[in-house]
Amino acid sequence: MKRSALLVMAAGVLWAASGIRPRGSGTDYPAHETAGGVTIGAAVIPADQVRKAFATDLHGGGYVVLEVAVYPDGGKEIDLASGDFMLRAGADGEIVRAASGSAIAAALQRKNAPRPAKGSNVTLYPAATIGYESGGYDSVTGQRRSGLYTAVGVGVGVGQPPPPGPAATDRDRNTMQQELEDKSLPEGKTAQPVAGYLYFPKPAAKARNSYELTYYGAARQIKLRLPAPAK
Amino acid sequence: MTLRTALFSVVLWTPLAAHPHFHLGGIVAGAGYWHGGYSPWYYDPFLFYPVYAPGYHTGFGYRPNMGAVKIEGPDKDAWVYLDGALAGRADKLKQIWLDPGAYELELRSGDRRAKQKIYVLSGKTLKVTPELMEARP
Repeated sequence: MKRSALLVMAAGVLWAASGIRPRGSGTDYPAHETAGGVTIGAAVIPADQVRKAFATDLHGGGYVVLEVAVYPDGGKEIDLASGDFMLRAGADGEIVRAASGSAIAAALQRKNAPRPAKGSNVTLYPAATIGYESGGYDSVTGQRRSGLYTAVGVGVGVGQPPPPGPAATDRDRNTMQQELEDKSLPEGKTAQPVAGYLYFPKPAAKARNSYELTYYGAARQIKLRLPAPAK
Repeated sequence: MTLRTALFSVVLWTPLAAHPHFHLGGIVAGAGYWHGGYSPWYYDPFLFYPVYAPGYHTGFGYRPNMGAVKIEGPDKDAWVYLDGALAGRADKLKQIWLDPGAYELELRSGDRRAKQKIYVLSGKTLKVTPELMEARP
């Protein structure tokens, strides 16, 4: 009993540690909407701010970052999950779900890791020699030797794999995952305002003029139209 | 001849006894491998290696697979703490090298404190500015 109580307390501390501080109210966000006893505020984070706020290269890795805040009305308890948010890019773009920190960290580490040479790192160099020999005596027959000679051979080169690039080690992957999870929108039940980041795969360039974020967790859907960030 | 000079001469000339050589005035020429001691002209590229490692004098020197943290624009007199342990003064720790991982970075200047969790990745430089930190009086 005592152990389970401690576990619950520890889980509560971990839950409270993630996310970021929400702004004063939902109206402080460029897009906000209230429905079903909850207010959602959201903003698209410009690429230069993403580079400053994250050690993880989210922009270069192909992700768009949204700051999302949830304000339950009148202390109403809600159950938050990042899977309840979907993003549509452009007027008729495809809908994408938020990516988890572990998936992004693994993808970025794979991208940064050195690529092994195709096949193997062993290279063969064929060589052929044709020459003319004159002078010298054959040790068996004792006659003077002269004439053409040929030889063939193979050179074998064994190369080292290229060194790892930045953020390519297993420790880097763990660090990226920790950063993304620490700053992401907290999940679970809450009656307090919470905020955090959601990471979505970047849509095609032509569809990045506007975004539509939909929240499916409330009694009815909440749709927010997000203007693209100024460049 | 001092004792030091005598010892130096022994170390320098002893190997020549084992190899063919000849004297031409004050010049000695010969063949053979040098194995009697360290030549005064011997150069070891790694002899002073740590001196040249970036950040060596701060105690957070560079090693492969480390990431850099640049502390920009804080109070010159601020003390920097990493995971609660004193790292040094901000003006001395312009760039420090750390293993990949998450760290609690804290600046203390007088009664002002600024604390931030930082994430260090190998081969990358993280710039930390006081504007990004929460001031805790």
